[in-house]
Amino acid sequence: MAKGEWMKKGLVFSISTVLVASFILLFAAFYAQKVQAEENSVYKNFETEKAGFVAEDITGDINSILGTQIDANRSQTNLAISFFDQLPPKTAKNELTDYNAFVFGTYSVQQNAKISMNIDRLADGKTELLFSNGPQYDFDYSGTQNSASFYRQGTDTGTTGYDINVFVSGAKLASTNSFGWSCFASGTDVKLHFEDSFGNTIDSSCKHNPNILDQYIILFENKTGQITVNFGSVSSNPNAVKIQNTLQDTSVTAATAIKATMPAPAQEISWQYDADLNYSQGDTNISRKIELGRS
Amino acid sequence: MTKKGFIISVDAFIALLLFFAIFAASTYHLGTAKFSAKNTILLKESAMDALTVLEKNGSLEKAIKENKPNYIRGFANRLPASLCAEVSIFGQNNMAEPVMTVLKSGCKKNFTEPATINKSVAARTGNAADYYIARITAWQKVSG
Repeated sequence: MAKGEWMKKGLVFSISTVLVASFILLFAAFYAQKVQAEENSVYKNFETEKAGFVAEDITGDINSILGTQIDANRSQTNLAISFFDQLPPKTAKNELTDYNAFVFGTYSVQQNAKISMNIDRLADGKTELLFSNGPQYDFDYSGTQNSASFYRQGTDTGTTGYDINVFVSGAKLASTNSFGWSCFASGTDVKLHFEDSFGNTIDSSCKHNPNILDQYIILFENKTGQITVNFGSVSSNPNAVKIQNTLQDTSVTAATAIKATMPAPAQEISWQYDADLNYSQGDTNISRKIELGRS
Repeated sequence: MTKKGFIISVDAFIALLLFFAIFAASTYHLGTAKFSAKNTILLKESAMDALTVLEKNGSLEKAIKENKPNYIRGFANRLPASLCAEVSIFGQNNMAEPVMTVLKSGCKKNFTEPATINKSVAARTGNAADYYIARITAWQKVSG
C-alpha cells in the first residue's frame, strides 16, 4: 500500500474515533440530564402528594373534634346518608379555635409550609356540613342550643324515608307526659326508635306530611327540659328533621343517628364543612373547602 | 527516522489526552446522575402510611392519653424487616423534647438518608382536646 493511502486510512480512523467518543460524551451528558429531570419530577409529584396528606390530616382532626360521623352510600337507585352525633357534643366544638391556632403556628412550621384555615363559620355556634346535591346537616351548639338538623334551605330535601334513632343516657323516660306525632296516609316514611339507659323504648313507624311541622316531645323523670324530634316543615324547610336537646342536666347525653334515604342523584356527591383550608409549599398550592368524603 | 518517531509519539500523546478527556467528561456526567429520588419517596410514602395507620387505628391517641408507648411499639415492630423507624410525639409547645419516643426493635440509628414525616394528633380528654405532633423518621435497615 502507498504511503498516502496509509495516511488517509489513519485520518478516517482518527475522525471515526473522535466521532464515536463525542457521541459517547454527548450521550453521557444527555443521560445525566434526563435522570436529573426525572428525579426532579418525582420530587415535584411528592410535593403534591404531601399537600394531600396534610389536607387529609387536618380534615381528619377537624372531623374528630366536631365528632359527627357521616356515612353515605349511593346505589343505582338510592342514596342513603347517615349521621351519627351526640347532644351535647363529646368535645367542646370551640376547641376548633385552639386547633386553628395550633395549625397556623406549630403544625405549619413542622410541615415547612404556609397553612391557614378560615373556620369562622364553624366556630360561630353552628357547624354546617354541605352536600353537593343540596341538603345540609347543621349542628347547633350556640348558647343553650343543642340540636342536629338535616334540611335543604327553602326547599324539599327529596328524602323518601327517615330512620331516626335516639339513645339517651343518664335520664329515665317519663312516658305518660311525652307525646307523639300524627300519622298520614301518604308522605314520607319516618321511623323513630327511642331508648334510654333504663331500657324504656318508644317506637313509631308511619307516613308523615313533609309540609307540616310535627314534633315528638320526649320528657324525662325529674329532669328539666326535653328531647324533641321535629319532622316536616322545620324552620320553613319542608321534609326536614331536627333533633333538639334542651335538658339542663348536661351529664345527660343523647346519641343520635339519622338516616335519610332519597333517590340517587346521577352524579357523584361530595360533602364538606363550610370552612376553607389554604396550603402553600413551594409551587404547590391548595385552596379548598374541608371535604370529608364522596360517594 | 528520529523525526518520524517524534511525530508518532506526539500523535499517540494527543490521542491518549483526547481519550482521557472524553473518558473524564463522560464519567463526570454519569456521576451526576443520581437515582435516589424513588427510594427516598418510597421511604417517605411508607412513613406517611405508617403514621396514617397509627392515627386511624387510634394508637397515637391512646399512647398519648395513657402514656403507654406500647401502642406504637406493637405496630412499629410489625413494619417490614428492611424498614427501620422511630416515632416521636411532641407537645405543641415543646418541639425540642419529645414526650414519647419509640424505636423499632432491632434497629440502630445508623442512617444516612432518613425520611421524616410529621402529622398532627388531637388527643381528647373529657370534652377538651390537646394537640401533638407525631414525627416518624424512617430509614432502610443496614445489616451489621
